[in-house]
Amino acid sequence: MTTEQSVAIGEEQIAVDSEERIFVAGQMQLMWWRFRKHRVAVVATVIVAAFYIVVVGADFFAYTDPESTEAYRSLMPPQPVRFFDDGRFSPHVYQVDGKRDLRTFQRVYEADPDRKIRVRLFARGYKYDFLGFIPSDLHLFGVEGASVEESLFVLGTDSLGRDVWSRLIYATRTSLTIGLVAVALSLVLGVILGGISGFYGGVADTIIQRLIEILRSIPTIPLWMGLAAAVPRQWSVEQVYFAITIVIALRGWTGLAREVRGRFLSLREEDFVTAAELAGCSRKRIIFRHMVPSFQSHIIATVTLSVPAMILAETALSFLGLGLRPPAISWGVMLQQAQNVETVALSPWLLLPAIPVVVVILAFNFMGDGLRDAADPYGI
Amino acid sequence: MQNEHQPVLSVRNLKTNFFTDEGVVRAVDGASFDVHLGRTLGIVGESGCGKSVTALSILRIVPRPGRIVEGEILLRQETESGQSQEVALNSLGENSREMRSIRGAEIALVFQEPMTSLSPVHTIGNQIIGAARLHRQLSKQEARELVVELLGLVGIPRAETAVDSYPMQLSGGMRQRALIALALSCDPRILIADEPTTALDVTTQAQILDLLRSLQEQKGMAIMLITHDMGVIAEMADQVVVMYLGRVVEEGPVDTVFGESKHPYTQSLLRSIPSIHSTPKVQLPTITGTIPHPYNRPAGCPFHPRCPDVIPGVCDKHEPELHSVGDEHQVSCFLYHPVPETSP
Amino acid sequence: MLAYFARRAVLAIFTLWAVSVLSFIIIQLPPGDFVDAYMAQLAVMETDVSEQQMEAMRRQYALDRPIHEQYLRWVGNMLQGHFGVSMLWKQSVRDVIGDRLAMTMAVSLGAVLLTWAIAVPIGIYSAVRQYSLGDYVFTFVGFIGLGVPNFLLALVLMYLGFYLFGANVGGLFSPEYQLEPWSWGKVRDLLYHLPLPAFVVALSGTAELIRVLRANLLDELRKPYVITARAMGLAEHRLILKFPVRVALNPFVSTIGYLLPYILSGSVIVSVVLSLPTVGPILLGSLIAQDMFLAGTIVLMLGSMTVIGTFLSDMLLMWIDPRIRLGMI
Repeated sequence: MTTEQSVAIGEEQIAVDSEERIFVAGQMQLMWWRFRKHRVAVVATVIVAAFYIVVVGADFFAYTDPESTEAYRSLMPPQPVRFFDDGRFSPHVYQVDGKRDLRTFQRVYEADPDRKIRVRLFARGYKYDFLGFIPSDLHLFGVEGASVEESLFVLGTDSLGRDVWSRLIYATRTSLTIGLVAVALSLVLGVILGGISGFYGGVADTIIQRLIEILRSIPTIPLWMGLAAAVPRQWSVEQVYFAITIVIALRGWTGLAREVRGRFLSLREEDFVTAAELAGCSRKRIIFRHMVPSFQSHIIATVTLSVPAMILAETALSFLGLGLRPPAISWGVMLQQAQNVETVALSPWLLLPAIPVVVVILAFNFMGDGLRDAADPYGI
Repeated sequence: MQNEHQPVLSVRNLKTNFFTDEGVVRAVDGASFDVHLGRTLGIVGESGCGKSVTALSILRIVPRPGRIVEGEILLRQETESGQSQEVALNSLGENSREMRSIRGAEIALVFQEPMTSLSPVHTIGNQIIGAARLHRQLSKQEARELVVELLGLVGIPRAETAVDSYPMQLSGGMRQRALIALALSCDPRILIADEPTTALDVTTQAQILDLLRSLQEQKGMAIMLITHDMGVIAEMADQVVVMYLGRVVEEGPVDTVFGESKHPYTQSLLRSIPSIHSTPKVQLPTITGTIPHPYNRPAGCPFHPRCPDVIPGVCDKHEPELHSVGDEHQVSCFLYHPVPETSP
Repeated sequence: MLAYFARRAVLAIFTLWAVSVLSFIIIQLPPGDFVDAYMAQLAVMETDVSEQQMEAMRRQYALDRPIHEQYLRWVGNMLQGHFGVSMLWKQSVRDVIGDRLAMTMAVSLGAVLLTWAIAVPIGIYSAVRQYSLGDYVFTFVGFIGLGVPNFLLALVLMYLGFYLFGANVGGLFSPEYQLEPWSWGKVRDLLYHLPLPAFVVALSGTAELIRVLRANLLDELRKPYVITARAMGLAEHRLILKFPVRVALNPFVSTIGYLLPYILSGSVIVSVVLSLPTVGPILLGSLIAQDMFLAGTIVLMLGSMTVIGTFLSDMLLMWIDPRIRLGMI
């Protein structure tokens, strides 16, 4: 045997090794390897993760109590933060004074360049319970030597004089969790009904399929509006929150159910399922040990892709005044103030909540696309 | 008059590469052969050896990212004055008017999958009439009559109604006949049949092969028959070209190649055909190993890792070339011709 | 073919029934019955209503009967064209929404046409020139279109319109035509104002359809029949239009079915932002004021429009796809 041949065998050995690594890797491991290759999807995932960090630490990222309201500082424009003072790095803002213009009856604000207020990181502010049980008053940033409520308005204030930045942070918490809760509800409904439909077939399948077709053929927003409008006015913020998630999930499950059913239908014909049946496995074991693991990656992708629709549904409903209502804060509730053109024309910063809506929706879409491609077993 | 001995189509040192992200695939790597009017050239090889790409290259419809990088494709045409002239198809633009007037009219293709080779939402008649009117000056009515006649010629029963049927209303064999009718609609001089019988059952296979043969006798056209089936070659071909990984390894008259095969690959292929002389209850010999992945084709002779007669130090270092070993019989193997002195 | 037609027709009727039940549920959801709400409304305006009048109204709407009879009475009234009275507008529901329903149809139809007019050529281009610069640009724009909710787009356009031109870009008519009866001038004025709202409503649907058509067409372009046609010497653009585009358009036609609910849905919320005279703002107003007969009727009308539209698109599909016509699918 010549040396070349043994070298060739050596190379083959390496190839076999890497193939074996693929053979023994679990479904999730494979999916992760493929997902990593999608640059855009990875970036999108990082963005989504950053948003959820804001959700967890909303109290820390806000600097003013979102409910703190003062009429004399309503509709204040965003305040520029100056980073250098006499060439030295020393972030500060100017104290703003408001007075009413006697001719137009609108409040006008003037920055006073002589009264500089220093902005610093990790400042003390209003008290809150971090994660609901750790008392704290630490905030990402604040001011020195003045009341933060009186002096810092990085994104301006709304018509009731509440700080837009802080409200935006709390709105992120509401809007992003409502999306997750609604998806979780949809997932439970979708997996149960889709599973029954796909695994048993027959009459159950026909009924569930017709139900899905009917639900999908009704325009969603009017349906949501009708259902949401029935939520009693006197309900508490939490009750409305859950009522709205249920309203959204009532249609949201149809897409997931279709996906689950499709997977069950195609898997039912697979040899490994037949083999498990012949080996005498119980139904439960076949479903949960053999079928579910082989399509869970697809479900993860579909779930990710359905989150933006849920977030959007809440935003749209609250925007129309039929979803969450004050004192709850969500992106939609905030955007409600921007419904009137004249208001927006005078105070365009009220449109700011649109930016996180678009960014989050795009990020979830790209992430979901990446996951879907990664979940495809023929994708390598 | 065209010279009987001059080929109607000559392919010389054709190289077609696919430039993919993972690397360059040399799908056809220096193929040469001649096609004669009234005769059948069989091209045989395992799947993935570049047979189909050769056909697409001749018609200049290699899909992206594939491209012809070298070689000549010469088509002999008769001018109005009766003189014959050669057109180099490789130098024409892929979508040029000239090339399009050759496709279908001079060289027609019968593709390998009768199930999907016709549009599912157009009637058979619509598709064939469209093609016929493209190259011939025919009114719609004349074209329709021609199509009915053609469908009858290829043996489709009740051709007048079949014209208006959709492909899915026909069986696989009937669809293949319809495809042949489509290919014949402009009276081509060369018919390329790419695995025309692979998807069909054995009885239908035989009928389609008979049909091709009788059409050739009637019209005197040249047939280039691409297949992986040595049996089909033996039945149909006059000349055989054996391909392996994009290269021609052996070529010659069918009797010579079958009777006195020289290349170890051809010999292995022939040995793997069951015959009445095989010993019962003994497994048929197979070719060891599988076709290497096109991205890492072996150095030297591409067949050497699977070759039973490999000469270590020679076959894995040098690339053999086609050399004559008899009357019209050529083989590319170091068993039959000397190793070049200078190493590459 | 008949089986397909029958199946679709039965499904459409069944869906219509389901939509009516849902609309009825929406009417019934708020606590108290319609007459209670009406009384409360009148009490606010200090109008006295006698007990007899209340009883008469209850009888008229069968509110004293069991719920299924109420439903049947309601559906019966609907079928005869009696949609009830809107308390909010003090008018019959029919008078309130008649014109606006037509406007809703105009905006939705405009949006569907626009969606097609944009999505078909771009989808074909993106598939045929896959991975070209244009394909990347359209894919990117498509993603933005998917990511930007239409009511936000409407808001931003309103703001830009106001900021750049100092004018309100909302509405479907110029002020001088607002209250005019119908005339050619008014129709022209409508056609002039229609593209912007239609575009806003169409955007995300267009992005979705471009994706669908591109994917369909990419599948079809790899099919052997394309090679067959190419090998017959057909010119590339004629070949693509005659065969793969034709085949890829079939599933495209069936997407009308889910495009319609999408577009009607979008038109409601966009109309609120752009203050279009469609049923959208009326629906919102009626829901906030708990004017449930009006709200229920609007939901029913929007639902029925979708069901009928979907049924028509199914019929269109049957007409253009021989595979369905011949009962092969």
